[in-house]
Amino acid sequence: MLPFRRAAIHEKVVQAIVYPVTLVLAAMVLVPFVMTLALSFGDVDDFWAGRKWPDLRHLRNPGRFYIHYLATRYDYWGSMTGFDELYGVQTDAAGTILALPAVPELKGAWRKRAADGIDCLRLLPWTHFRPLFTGWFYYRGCSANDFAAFTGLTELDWKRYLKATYGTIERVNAKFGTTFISFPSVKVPGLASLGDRSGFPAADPWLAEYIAFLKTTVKRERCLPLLGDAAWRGWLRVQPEIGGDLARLNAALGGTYPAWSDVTLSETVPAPGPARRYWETFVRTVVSPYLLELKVTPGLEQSFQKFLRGRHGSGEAVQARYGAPPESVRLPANARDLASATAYADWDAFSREAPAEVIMARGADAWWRQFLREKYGTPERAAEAWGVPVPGFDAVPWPQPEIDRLDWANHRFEYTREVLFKNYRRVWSLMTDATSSLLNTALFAIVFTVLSVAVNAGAAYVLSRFGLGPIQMSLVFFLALAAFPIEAMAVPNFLLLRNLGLLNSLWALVLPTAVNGYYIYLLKSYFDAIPRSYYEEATLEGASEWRLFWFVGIPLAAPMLAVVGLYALLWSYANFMWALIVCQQRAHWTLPVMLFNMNTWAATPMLAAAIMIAVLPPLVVFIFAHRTLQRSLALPRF
Amino acid sequence: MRRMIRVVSSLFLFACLLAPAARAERRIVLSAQLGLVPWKGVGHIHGESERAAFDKFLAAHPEADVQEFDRLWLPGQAWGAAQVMSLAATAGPDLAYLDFPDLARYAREGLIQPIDDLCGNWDERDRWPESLVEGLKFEDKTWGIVSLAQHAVLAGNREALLSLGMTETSMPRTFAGIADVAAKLNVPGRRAGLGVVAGRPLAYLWLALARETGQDPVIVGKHGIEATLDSEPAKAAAEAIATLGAALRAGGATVLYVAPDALTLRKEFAAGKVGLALVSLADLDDHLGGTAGEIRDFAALQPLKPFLGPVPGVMAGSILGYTVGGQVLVLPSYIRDGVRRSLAFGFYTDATYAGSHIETEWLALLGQRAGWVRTDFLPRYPKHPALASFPPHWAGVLSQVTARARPMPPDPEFEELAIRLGERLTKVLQGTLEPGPALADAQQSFEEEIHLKTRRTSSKWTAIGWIVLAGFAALLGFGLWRLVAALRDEFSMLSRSTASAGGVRHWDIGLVLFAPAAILAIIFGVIPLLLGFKMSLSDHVLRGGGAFTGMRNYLDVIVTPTTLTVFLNTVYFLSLSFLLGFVAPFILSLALSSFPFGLTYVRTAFFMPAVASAVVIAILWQQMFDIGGPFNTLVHFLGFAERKWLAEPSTAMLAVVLPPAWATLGVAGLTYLAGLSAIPEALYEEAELSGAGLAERFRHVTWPHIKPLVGINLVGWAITATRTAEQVFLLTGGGPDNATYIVGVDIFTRAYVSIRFGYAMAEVWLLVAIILVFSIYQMRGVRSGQLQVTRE
Repeated sequence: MLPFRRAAIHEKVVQAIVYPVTLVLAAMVLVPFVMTLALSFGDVDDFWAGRKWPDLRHLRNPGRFYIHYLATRYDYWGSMTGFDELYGVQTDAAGTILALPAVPELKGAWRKRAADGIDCLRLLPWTHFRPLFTGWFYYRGCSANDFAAFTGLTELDWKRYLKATYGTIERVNAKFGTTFISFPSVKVPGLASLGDRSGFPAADPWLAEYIAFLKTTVKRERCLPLLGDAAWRGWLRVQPEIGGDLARLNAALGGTYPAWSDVTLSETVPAPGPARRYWETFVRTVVSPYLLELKVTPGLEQSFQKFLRGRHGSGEAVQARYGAPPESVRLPANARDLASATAYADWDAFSREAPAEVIMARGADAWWRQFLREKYGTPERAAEAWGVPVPGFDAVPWPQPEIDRLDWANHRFEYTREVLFKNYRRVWSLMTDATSSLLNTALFAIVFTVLSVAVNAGAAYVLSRFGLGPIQMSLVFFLALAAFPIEAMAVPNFLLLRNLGLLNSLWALVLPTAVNGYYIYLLKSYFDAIPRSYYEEATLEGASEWRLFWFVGIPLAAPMLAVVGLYALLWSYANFMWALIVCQQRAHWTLPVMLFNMNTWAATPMLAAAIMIAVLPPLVVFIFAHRTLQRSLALPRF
Repeated sequence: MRRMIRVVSSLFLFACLLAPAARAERRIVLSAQLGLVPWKGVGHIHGESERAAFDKFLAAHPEADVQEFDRLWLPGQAWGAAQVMSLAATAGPDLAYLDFPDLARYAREGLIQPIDDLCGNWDERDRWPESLVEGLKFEDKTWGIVSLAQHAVLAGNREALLSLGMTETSMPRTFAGIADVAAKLNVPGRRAGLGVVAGRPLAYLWLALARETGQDPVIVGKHGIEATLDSEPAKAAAEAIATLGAALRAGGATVLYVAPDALTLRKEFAAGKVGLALVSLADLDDHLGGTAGEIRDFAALQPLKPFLGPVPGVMAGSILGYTVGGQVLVLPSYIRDGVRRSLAFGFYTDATYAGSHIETEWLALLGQRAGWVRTDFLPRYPKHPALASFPPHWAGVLSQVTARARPMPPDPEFEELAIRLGERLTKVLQGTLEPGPALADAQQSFEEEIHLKTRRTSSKWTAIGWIVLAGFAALLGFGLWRLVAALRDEFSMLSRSTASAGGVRHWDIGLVLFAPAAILAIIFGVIPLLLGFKMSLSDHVLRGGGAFTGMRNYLDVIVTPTTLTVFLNTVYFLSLSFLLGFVAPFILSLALSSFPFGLTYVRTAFFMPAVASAVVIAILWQQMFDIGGPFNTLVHFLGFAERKWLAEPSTAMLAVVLPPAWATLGVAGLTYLAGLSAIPEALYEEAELSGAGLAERFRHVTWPHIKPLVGINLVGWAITATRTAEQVFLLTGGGPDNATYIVGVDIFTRAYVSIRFGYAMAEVWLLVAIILVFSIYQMRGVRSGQLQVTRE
């Protein structure tokens, strides 16, 4: 067996070189898999940093993980303006958080204040949640740069909520007129229109459902409320004449703000002056009507009714739209509960014209202060409860840093898991949705293996038993067919399958390649080796040809059947080119086709995760069928 | 009995041959609907409303046989799309397809029924879904229609335009609207910008118009564009261009930035580093989670507002595949081929891809003239993941471009084509081009250019062709002779093999057992083979049979200049593959055969790669060869410079051979190992006693035993290696610079990219002549008792 003689020294030297080299080679052979495993933990941060390899060091360092959490939470298309506003700091041009001055210590008042803030969130009307953190682009499941965000967790909650509420996806589709193919493919409706003037989400039942979900099940601390101050500052910053400059802001507003964080949105209209002009423009045209309230008086109501008449042309027109004459149309204090788009648009239009004195702008921060006033009464009692000095309720900022800290502290395990396995989660949901490529592949592999073994074994048995001229010739013919490249057959075969109406079906995959001359040859040789006496004895005992086949041929050829079955299984699992040509509809894609498709759009980490999943089934087969494979290795391969 | 089998089987064969011819003719269903436009054989539908309308149409026409290809919309995936496309085209008129040049004719003949009342219709724009308009936040609702118009115009078909409700008169309105938007977007404080939201690159169309319809249309300064235009439709375009130019000048922008992805673009914009930016809707769609570039839900565009709204410089064009890191990258030959192909067939096979060839051409021309094509963005992204995530064959394109595009090489053919396109565009816009005969001429000339330009038809080459063909015929004859010999051997073995067939034999059962395999083999083996052979004798280009051309295709294969490249590449590939895929496993098996410890684990490690399928292997090795990837890390560690192995012509072949070798190393090595372990140890001991050294023992003991196995495996390897196409296709697509353009890839490209089935089939049959000889030897080897499966 061994070409090496153990005794000779010089041969030992050769061995001493050959064996380590072999070991190193064996290790190198595994490098691609290790690489893929490492890549599959990749993240959007790695993308931005231009890193090829994921950097997961932050998982071990609480401080770094916290910053990572914040960066992920506030990142909005690479912009960290939300974070800048809420934390009163400036991230650098690359959106990197440089310092966290506003982050409270883990001990002390942070937990109490955060709890208060979350209590306030519960009181807030839903319109005050601007889903900045639950940003749309993290929800999309598998888009090109959909690397990582904890927000995927909320998406999962949303899908669970739908499933619990409606049971089947058909009911969801029937109710909302959507076309989702499965729960994993459900998407989160975009809510960005809440932030500006144009949106009227209440008219959309699908959006309303999402809002209902937000109200009930979502973890409140993951939502970001719409803050009046932040919106105000953000708008002022981008005004051309201010251009983000504090001195120019003071000049324009006629104020003396020492810092941007001191700029607050007045709830009511400011005294006449330049600041009033800005306030009115902001309130009337920029901010969402959901944040406005009108001080409704009989006089104002009358002017609203007059406004309606003027807007719609006549009293009859108003009647037609409102089902009531203009005189009895009431003016709602705010637009939050309006259900009709007309009423909403009218309210919006009226709020643009109404006297500034009756308009109030109330962001979540205003609600927060009101909440504190009601809960604590005096700043002293709040200071007592929090253990920190509270000069006055008007100066209390929205406790977003505390809320973030609470969220992070409470769900750290969940976030860690998400950081590590998000790619696998996404890929898995992609592979197992209604157009499950995994299921397609499994079905194809099993049907193909069974059919291929059956058909080829039958033919081989006949060739072996009835070895006659034309049939024997057909063996050569079968083998000859195997010599033709797949390209030679692809086009005509495609046409043939089309004419037979078999495209986009399992049979298009299975039938054309089920007969394999090589398998037949292997099996035939094995049948040939069965002694004729076995057949003779069985015949003498009155066995029919069927019984000969089943009880003599098949059992004795079992080892080779196993080998052929294994070949067929592995081959069909890996089959790509033919599957690509024949299975065009997404619902029929097999795993390789899907991987090929993913390769065109998916980010590397997701692709890596998909590969790790795709490699597993043959690996399991390899482990369990190890002996059969070893045996099959002695066979020549085409 | 035997005779009966023969008769039945031949009758069956005959019936199978007749079956395709006997099928009923079906109607062609053409949809001129927006979402269905760029495709042949297609159901590529934008949005739910179009889907609903299309469903309605189908319900009204139950006889329509529509084939939907979900996969056609693959941004940047040239061959995947083209391949399915060509299959669809070949499948003939049963498929729903749109064909601009033929549109009018089909309509006249009552074969088609354009759907033109959908949101692709400009005049119906008030009925477009609100979500679309709102989502795109575009004042002038030109989304879609301009794309359509552009494709129609470039295809030279005015009737298509008219039939779709888009006329020359509506074009200025479109342009005016765009100019208006562009003016509004000229925000101070921004460096520059043009805002166009369109699925298709309007900007290029204006620029093309400006360039081609004016006298000296585009005077490109370093900081912008000035245009003077006379023609009526172009005046509006001129205004738009002027606005663009002004915007660019006001911002002092100098850079035409084409982002590798929308996120990067956003980033660059946030940093104020980008002047005019171009992104495609498809790119954005990726971020919306649409699969494969299809936007299903326009409401989903809502969240894009912060992206579209405040950023003044947004997008036009789908040029993702051609650009990277801010540099305008153009590979002339590739694009030229794409354009030619598109024009030759008179349709745009792929809006993303053939269409963007045109766009990219304009872009390149403009960039060249403007001095916009800048390279200083590129070094900032040496390890940018976007570079790694391009489809595999782009690696070649990119490398070639980075190597050659500074400055862009003068390419008279390319220029000529651009000019010709421009001429047609002008004529169409002026209404002077009659779509009928003129178009047919243009098509024919392009077709000739594509198919005949490279064809060597002189008597010298014909003579050479016939001589080589005679050689192949001899080879085939030899193969057949060996086949007959093998058959004779088979017959002589008859008595031996039937010896096992003891007892009474029941023919009826035997027939039942044998029939499935026979039937399947005939339907899916013999018939396709014959059809393929028939194709090789005709100029089978697109749908329909094609005329009989005799041996012309075979001669073409032999005398085509690229065949020599293919041949040499294949020889190179085979020799490298021989070392890595054949010799290396053998040496490995020798090392393993006496491995002193942990053989199971080492063996398992080597076997592991066998679990990876072709796609997985390709993806893995793209990552392996990536800059900063493991392979380059090793190279760097060894003191060499990192390089893009797959993208450089000098190393691409090596990089292409390695992955399959890696995948089969374990399997092939362990095959020998099984053979080696079957050698009785006593023989070695005997040899040792007689004083034989290491080399002598190998020569006299190991080799004689293993030789037959090596022989069989050699033939098996040769057949497999010659047929290799998948891996190379997935890794490089034949590039860069045809460096990995081996025979399997050539066949595939000819058949599915160039859509020349006849040629491809001829090439297949020439290859078969060679492989047949191998196969027969392998068959003999297999039969001569090398099956070593132990019975348990």
